[in-house]
Formats: sequence, C-alpha cells, structure tokens
Amino acid sequence: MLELKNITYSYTKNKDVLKNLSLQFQPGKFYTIFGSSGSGKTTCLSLLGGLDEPKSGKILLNSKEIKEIGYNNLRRKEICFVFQDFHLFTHMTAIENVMTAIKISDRKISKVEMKKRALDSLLSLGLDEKDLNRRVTKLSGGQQQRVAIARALATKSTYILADEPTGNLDLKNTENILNIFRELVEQHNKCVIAVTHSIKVRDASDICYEIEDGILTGET
Amino acid sequence: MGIGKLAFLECIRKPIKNIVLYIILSAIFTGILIGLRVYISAQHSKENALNSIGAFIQLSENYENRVESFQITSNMIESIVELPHVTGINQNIAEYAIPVNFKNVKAYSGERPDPNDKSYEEFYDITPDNIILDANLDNKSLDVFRLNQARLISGIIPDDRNPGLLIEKHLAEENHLTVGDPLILTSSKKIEISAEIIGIYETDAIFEITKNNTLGEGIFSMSPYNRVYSSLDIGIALYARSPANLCLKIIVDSPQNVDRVGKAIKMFDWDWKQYGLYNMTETYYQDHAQHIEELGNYSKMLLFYIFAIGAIFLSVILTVFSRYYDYDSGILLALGSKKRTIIFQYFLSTLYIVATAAITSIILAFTAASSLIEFILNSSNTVSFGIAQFENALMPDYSVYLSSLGIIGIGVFVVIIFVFLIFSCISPVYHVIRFNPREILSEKRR
Repeated sequence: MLELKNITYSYTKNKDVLKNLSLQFQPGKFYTIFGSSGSGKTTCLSLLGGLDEPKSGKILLNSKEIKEIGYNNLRRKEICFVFQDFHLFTHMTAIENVMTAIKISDRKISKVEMKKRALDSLLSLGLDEKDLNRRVTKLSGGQQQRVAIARALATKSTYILADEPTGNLDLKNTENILNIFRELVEQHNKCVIAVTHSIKVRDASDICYEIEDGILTGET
Repeated sequence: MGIGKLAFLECIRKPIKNIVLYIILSAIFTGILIGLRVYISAQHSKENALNSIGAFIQLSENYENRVESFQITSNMIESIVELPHVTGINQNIAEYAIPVNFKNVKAYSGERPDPNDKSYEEFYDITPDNIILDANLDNKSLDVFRLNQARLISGIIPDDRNPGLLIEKHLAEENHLTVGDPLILTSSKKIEISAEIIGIYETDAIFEITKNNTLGEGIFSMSPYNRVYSSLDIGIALYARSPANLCLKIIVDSPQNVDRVGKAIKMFDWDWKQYGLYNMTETYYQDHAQHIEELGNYSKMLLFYIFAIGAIFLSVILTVFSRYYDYDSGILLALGSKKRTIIFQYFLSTLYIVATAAITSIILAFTAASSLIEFILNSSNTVSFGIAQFENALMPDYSVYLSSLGIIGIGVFVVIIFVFLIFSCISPVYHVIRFNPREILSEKRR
C-alpha cells in the first residue's frame, strides 16, 4: 500500500500547497485525484513518485518510508509515471522506449527477455506489430500514450502514477486508455493513480479523492 | 538497452545536433592537427637549422664601443678553451689573393658574365683572376667540412701544426697541381708568399651565375672552386695581420649551450667595453632563418585562434541544444535512472562524436590538408635572402621540412581531444546536475 500520512508541503514559506493531507492507495484499484488547477493534485503525484520531499509528514510504501527505500529505487522498481505529454524518447522507436525502461528497472535482464517483455506489453495494449519499430513521433497521440503505459506495464511496477493521462487525447482514445487502466487494475492487480480534472476520468475510477487548496474535500 | 546503446542511439538519432557538433569538432581538430604539425615542423626545422649553423660565439671588438687597442691574448684563449662545452676555437682571415704561378678556375653554369662589364673595378682587389685565401686556425671546424659539403681527397687539412694550403679539385686539375707543389700568391698589400699544397678537397658546391651578377667577370673570384684554405700563419703573412687583432670564434658542443658558455665568458674579469661577445648561432639564425621563426609563430597563432573560435562555437552550439538534455534527463530520472548514470550516458555519446570527429580530422589533416600544409611550408621557404649574384650549395640548411607529429605531438593532440571532450560535456552535465526531477511534471515543460 502506498500512503501519504499527514503531509504538508509548500513551495514558499507562507503558503502551504498541501495541508496535513492523508491518502491511501492499494493495488487492484483505480484512483483519481480530482481537483481544479492549483489545488495541489500534481504536487501529490510528485510526492508519491519521490520527485519531491514533503515539509512534514510521511510517505509510506508497504509501511516503509520511501525515503529509506530510495527515490531512484522507488521509481525503478515500484512506481512508474504516465504523463499527459507522454514523455517518450522521441529519437527512439516504441519498442526501444519500453526496452530502455525495462533495462533501467532491471539491470541484469537478458536482451532476449527484455525484448520479449517489451513486445508482450506493447502487443497486449493493442499496438500493431508494424508500429513497434516506428519512431514514436510517427505514432498518433493515443498510440504514444499506449507506449507510455506499456512502459509502465513492462517494468512490473505496481503503482502507475498518471498525470492528466487523457489531457491530450480525443474522446475515442480517452475511452481506450481508461479501458486499459481498468484492465491493468483488474487483470494485473496494478494500482493506477491518475491526477485529473476530467469528470470522465473521475467517473471511471474506483476511488476519487477530491482536493481543494491542498485539503481533502471529498472521497467517493 | 545498455548505456552504451542508449548513448549510441543518442548520437545517431539526433542528427541535427550531432552533425553540427561533429562538423565543428572535426573542423577544430583538423585545424589543430594542421597547426600542431606545422608547429612541430617549424621546431624541427629550427633545430636542424641551428645544428647546421653550428654552435659558436664570437669574441671580437665591441662594435658598439670601438676601441683601437682591442687585442686577444693567449691567456684569454687558454681561459676560454678550459670552459665546459667549449670544443674548439678558430681565427680566420679570408681575403682576395692574386695567383702568380697558377690560374683560377673559370668554370660556371647559368648566365655568362659579360667580358665588357668592368663594374668589378669599383671594388677594391676584385679581379676576374683572383682567388680567395681562407686562412684558419682550425679549418676542420669550418661549415663546409663540419657539414661534409667538402671532403678531403688527398693529403691533410692544414692547421697550426700542419701549415700549408688546401685547394679544390677543379683548381688542382686545371693547373696540374698535386700535394707537395708550391703555390705563389700575392696580396693587395703587394706581399708575395710561396706555400706548399698539403691537401686537395672536393666539394658539392655548384657555381651558377645568376642574371643579377653585377661584377662582370670579377664574379669568378667568388667561385667555390677558387677558394684556397690555409693555415692561419699563411694568411697572417700574406695580409700582414696580427693574430691578436683577429676575432675569436669559440666553438660550443651544441646550440643549446651557447648562451651558457657566453655567460661563463662574461664572468671573466676583462674590459667588456673593449671586447664584444656575440652569439653568432642566434645572429645567423635571425639573419637567415627568420621564415622558420615566422612559421612557428604563425602556427601558434593558428592554434590560439582555433582554440578560441572553436570554444566559442562549441559553447554556442551546446547552449542552443541544451533543451535536449533537460527533456531526456527528466524522462530518465522519472524512470529511476541516477544522475551519475545519465551523466555517464551523455559522456559516452559525446565521446562517440568526439572520437569520430578526431578520426575524421586525422584523415583530413593527413590527406586533403597535407597539400595545405605543403603550401604553407612552401610559402615560408620562398622568403628571399636578398638578390643573389650567384648560387652555390655551400650554405647551412635553412629549409623547412614537413615533420610527423611524433610521440609528443600525438600526446598533445590526445590531451586536446580530451579537453574538448570535457568541454563538450559541461553543458549536458550542468543540465543534469541542476535539473529538479519535479520539473518533469511542471506546466512549463508542456
């Protein structure tokens, strides 16, 4: 279980972005952190991914502070990001992007195993074989987001942190991605945590934490 | 995908940035290689010229402060020859002499002197029938023998223990002279002497009269075939000179020790208002080999500008392309890479480009650019020494030769490559170090 416990965070001395916030995330569930712009939801994601440290409070993974686990280790082994802008290596093909992530998460993996795992992940997310060896910049937005999710899937991370994952997608692709998230949760026992201000995404999740001005205002 | 492969993909899949970087680095390295090669060639040529000139100092009257009582005593000579690095001394009188019982050689190539041109009469004691008597304390130390431009073929070389004359083969053959025959000479002072030939030499010298000849047939007196070497006593007798008033040539074991010996001589408690001490190696080098020095300076200037302009260009390019590093560093950090791993990856990708540029520059510098180097060297060799009335081969070697880089040159080039490698890595390393992982989620990046 990934947990934010009494977290307070501020960028400046006077104004706290998160105020004594406590949230819990369990594998096998699709969470959304819902809120308006500036509510503190992206800061939550940043803290959960070890990209930043809280002013006070604890972030725990299976009851162990992530600081002790090590932020790099955390991102290599336990969590993976999916971004609104996909953040793929634009000079690489789809399969190379996934293989790069696998190699970072598991340095000792063989080349054959790495390629197999990358192929499995990409094909399981409905990408055509002919697209796997194309530069990601040649793929559509929906395909690129699938590559980004395949990257998360292939690294065997339990927690997938998605930052506005459908923000750059049309309605059809948004539905596809949400279906994939549901599959990851239901069939692969992953925990998807999506930060969003999209009602459609919020409605697709199992649990939604609503945040306003850094305070939890609702849980549905 | 190991770091090596990632670095390789970084190189080949980001063509614009890397091709620009590659071209700039190749241009810098090619320029540096050419500059280094020209510089090393100039250094080797200088060394060669200095060795060819020989290492010697002249002790004479002080030219800035002429004193009539100038005299070199035997005590002074003894003090000098005992100094470390001094290998010999010489005193010389070289003046025109008139043959009495033989004729000079009039063989030549090139422009035929005009028999009606009597312009030589303007010059005291030059006539078409003269020879030059070159009287020395130590003839063996003369450049022509030291550099093997002239070789003894019969008899011995005269010195203070073996008085006599040494004549050239052509002069001997034309006059049917051989070792043991006497020659009779008179000087402009109307003194006549008879001396025995004790040696015959042959020479590599040519005697090519140019169209710039202003001496008419008087030029024959300057023919290398008409140069007769003798022991110093013959010169002193013929020209009624005192050895005490002759300059002293102090021969040193190497050009590098000339200054050291000069300083040691200056330590003697002599009247330095009367005596002058001159580094003749340096003087001859400055007079005749300035083109080598200019080439060396030119190559240093070339290297400086390539360094400066190259560094500026490189900085601009690396700054322009710095956004690449932010973007990729962010993704790698989000995937769990450590900063030092990312830095190493960028180091490797830069190394690939730098190494490729270095190989290209070696090929360019040693093929296409070799003609450029030859051009630079040839240009430097065309420096005029003044209008020559005749050519002969008996000159120290002031040529510029194209040298290979050698171990030191290669070492310097490798160090320069390494410096540029580190310089090229500064921008990516800076961006990785200062990158805050949280920026990957910031609005600015979108």
